[in-house]
Amino acid sequence: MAMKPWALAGIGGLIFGASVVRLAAQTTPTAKPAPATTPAAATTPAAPAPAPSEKKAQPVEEPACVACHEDMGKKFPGNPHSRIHGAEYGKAGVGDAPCASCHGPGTKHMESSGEDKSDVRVFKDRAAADFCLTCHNSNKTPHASYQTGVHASAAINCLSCHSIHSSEPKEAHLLVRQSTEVCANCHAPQAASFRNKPFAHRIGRGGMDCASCHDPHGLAKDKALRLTPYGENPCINCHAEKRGPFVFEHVNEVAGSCMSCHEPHGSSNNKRLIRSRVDKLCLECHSNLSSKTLGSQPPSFHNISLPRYQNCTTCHVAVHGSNLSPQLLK
Amino acid sequence: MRTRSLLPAVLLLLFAAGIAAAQTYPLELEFGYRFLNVDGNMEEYRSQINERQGFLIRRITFASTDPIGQPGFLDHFRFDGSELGIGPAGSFRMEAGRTGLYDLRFFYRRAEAFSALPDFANPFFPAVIPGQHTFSRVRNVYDAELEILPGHVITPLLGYIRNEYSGPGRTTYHIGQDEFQLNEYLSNRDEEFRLGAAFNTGPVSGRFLQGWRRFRENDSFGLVPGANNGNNNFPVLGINITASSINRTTETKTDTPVTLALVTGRIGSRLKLIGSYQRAHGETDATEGEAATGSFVSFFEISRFFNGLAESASTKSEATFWKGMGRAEFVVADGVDLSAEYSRRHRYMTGFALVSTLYQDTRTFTSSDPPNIQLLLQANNSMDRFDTVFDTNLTVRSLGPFALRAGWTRDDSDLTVSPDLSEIVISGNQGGSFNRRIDTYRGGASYSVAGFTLAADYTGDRANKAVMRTDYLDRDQYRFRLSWSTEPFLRVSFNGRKTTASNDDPGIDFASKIWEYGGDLEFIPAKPVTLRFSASKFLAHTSIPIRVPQDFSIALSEHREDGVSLEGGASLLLGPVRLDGSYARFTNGGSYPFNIDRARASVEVPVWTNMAVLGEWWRDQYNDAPQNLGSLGRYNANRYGVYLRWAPWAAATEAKEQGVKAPPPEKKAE
Repeated sequence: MAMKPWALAGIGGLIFGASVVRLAAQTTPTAKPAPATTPAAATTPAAPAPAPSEKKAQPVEEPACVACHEDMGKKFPGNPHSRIHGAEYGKAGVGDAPCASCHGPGTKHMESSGEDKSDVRVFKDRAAADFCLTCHNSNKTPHASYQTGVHASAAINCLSCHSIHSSEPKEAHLLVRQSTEVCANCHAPQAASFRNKPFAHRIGRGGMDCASCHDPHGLAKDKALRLTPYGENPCINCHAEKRGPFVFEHVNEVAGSCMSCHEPHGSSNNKRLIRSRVDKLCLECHSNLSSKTLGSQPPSFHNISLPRYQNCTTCHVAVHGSNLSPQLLK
Repeated sequence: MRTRSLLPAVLLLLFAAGIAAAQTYPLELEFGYRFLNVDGNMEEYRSQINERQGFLIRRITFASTDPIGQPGFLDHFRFDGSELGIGPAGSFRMEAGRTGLYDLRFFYRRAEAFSALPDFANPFFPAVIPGQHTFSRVRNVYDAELEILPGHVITPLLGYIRNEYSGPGRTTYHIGQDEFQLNEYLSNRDEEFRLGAAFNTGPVSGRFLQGWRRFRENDSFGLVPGANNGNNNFPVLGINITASSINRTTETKTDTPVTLALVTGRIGSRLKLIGSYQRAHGETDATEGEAATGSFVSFFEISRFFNGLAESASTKSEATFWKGMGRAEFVVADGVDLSAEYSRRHRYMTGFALVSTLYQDTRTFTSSDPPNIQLLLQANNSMDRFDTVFDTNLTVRSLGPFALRAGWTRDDSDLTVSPDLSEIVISGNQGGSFNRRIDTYRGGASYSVAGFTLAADYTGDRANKAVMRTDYLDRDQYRFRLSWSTEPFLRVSFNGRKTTASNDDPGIDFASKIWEYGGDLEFIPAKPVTLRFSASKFLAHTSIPIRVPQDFSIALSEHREDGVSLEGGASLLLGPVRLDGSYARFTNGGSYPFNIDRARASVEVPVWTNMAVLGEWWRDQYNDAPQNLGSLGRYNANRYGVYLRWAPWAAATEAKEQGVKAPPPEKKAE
């Protein structure tokens, strides 16, 4: 097996430790969930969250909505929205705030046994995005500006990709399906490239997905790339040794980028190169047919009809930059 | 499989099982054993797929709002792992915290990188198999972040990332007019510790981060036993080039302090202003020691024969990067948003290298006198680049069922590169000052009603000049999408994308076209049956004239691809038993023709409450036929897996059952 033993042992230890503490805690009986509150109690406006010390001794309480929407009630305690500040699910004094904070008070809805839906909000299309943004207009990154982002439209909204109540249990961020499937729904050519091309990143399995390189909430101008916090291509997040700086830089961060030579979405060629022959890839720039471009001097007098010279990187191994060799030989 | 690695995985399973047995914890676990049978070229298989035989935790999910029964410390905990074990890539992430007190996030990813292609990196293709450039390395990435007092006015942040990459490889080294194979062992570690705080005062919020990044690398090389004669079997100037020993070690150290500041302010309900500043300053120090003995010829450096080489190098390079950005977002009307952004980015790089090379026992082409000659190489390089970008966007998110988007970006680049020493080959055209302006125009529209969606986008780039030969002057990208779903019976979609790029300047004449389109169909004739079909086509053609170096003639470098993909699959629920099968074929013509056949079949049989056994068969057949020289990389790989899925958490099981056929997302209302 490939994984470092201590890493897996750490995981095991973590879960084991949690179980021991949990078992120890079970010696003190925990309060059972109280019955659902009455509709009248449920209509009470959401109270601010009590201080942690106040919460400790209080009994757990389910929102009244769960009496009917039982399936939602089962799943919701694990939902990140159950931890909304000031609206914590199942905590005394909070009542129906977790449901009401998005769906409205629902008083008439409850009083009519579900017939009247006039005071219950359901979300679809742009209204969904707008409502989510009342909280999720995050300022944590420079590009968290969904309204003008690449995915702001009538056909796509927050609920196109996320589901508050029926998300895929094994996915983070409340995604409706596995993240790569969500993206493939619209970006079929890229998904087909990942599936079909023999040399491709292992997307959707083992921790890498579309969002590893792209920010779905980002802007169109840079293809919503998930740049490093310091403005570098996302490739550098993993391929850190290509970052440099080098004394003898090649393409990256000079005039081109990783994509000058590589196709990250899957390639027919080894190393995900954009050409099947390396010599042609190199000569396309280094051809001295125009004096106006950078790096266009010819690569010596190599006879590329000989197989020995058909793969430039056989000798010029340090194509990503070198500190030792101006010709990138080492 | 190595026992030492299996043990922790088994322990993990036992611990998880113990927890699950004792608690009503939300745990779902899928683990088992994968068998592998490969016919054909194993190295090609490993370069492409690299799934091997052994124990595997395919999925583990563990989540709780009260994992330790102490609500004062933790009120949420989540652990997700996938593909942990035999690899080639696996990961897990953990989130834990107490609302309003702290949030701790941890991510781990392991990826194995293997490459040993028979034809691609082999100078004697097709006579020698396997290729000369190979590596088998492992990358481990650890990323931890602690957020203290989330949601409060001030939120301190702590973070740490470590990225390790190491393993053996084989490479080549050009010395004395020949190339010799070297064994290599590379080990590097890139880590960053960051500290900062976020603040939120309501109308003004932001964050400040200061990071310290450290990169350390050791790369050592030695002549491959038996590779003394090198690639070139022909004498050069009358002597056979041989190496009796080559050894080299390089050490690289880079330290980079990094800074990020971001502030967002709101003025009223319609205007948001964002400003950010990023800065990084990296300094690299590298040293090298090399020793070689043998019989060599040097043309350019000293124009002599020599029998040994001792080299030491000391280099230093620096790069300073900063970027400042200002952005305004304005709500023109309900659903109508306008934004404008200005950013300026600067990167300055300078490098210095001092290389001392001692050529031992040198002699001229006519003399036998063997003196030693020392050559000092002092190089200074620099690069200075400014990018100024202005970007504006208008989005109209709904005009009834319509949505519109338009944007314009102007990107000005100014670049100054000092001539570097590679000009000792043929001088000229390297270095100098370059500038380029790109205007990008974007437009898009979508129409969405009753499960029907039609969307189209256009992006056009117009540049005034090229910096590199393969830069475009004109580029046009079109994208369209048509989908229709009648929940829950049918989902049809058709997607297409076309990109053309060109540069008509004399001496460049670059042209590129990529055209991808395809359709998907998902059909549920009856509840237990799901049918899936997909067909797509990929066409690419790129051409640009090149100068052939041996005779200075002009030839055309062309790259073509013509790929067709056909896929079909079915899922069937027979009572509690679930069957799934699919077949896909991708045929690619053009410059490097090949085809791939993929078959997948699985059966899931419940054996106990919340427990199921999965049997799985995956087959991948790869056939290539480059340049009519016959196949080198052909393989037929079969993987058979037997897995146990255990979901003691009832809700998770219910969700999983519901997830057998998730509805199309667009129509979903919450």
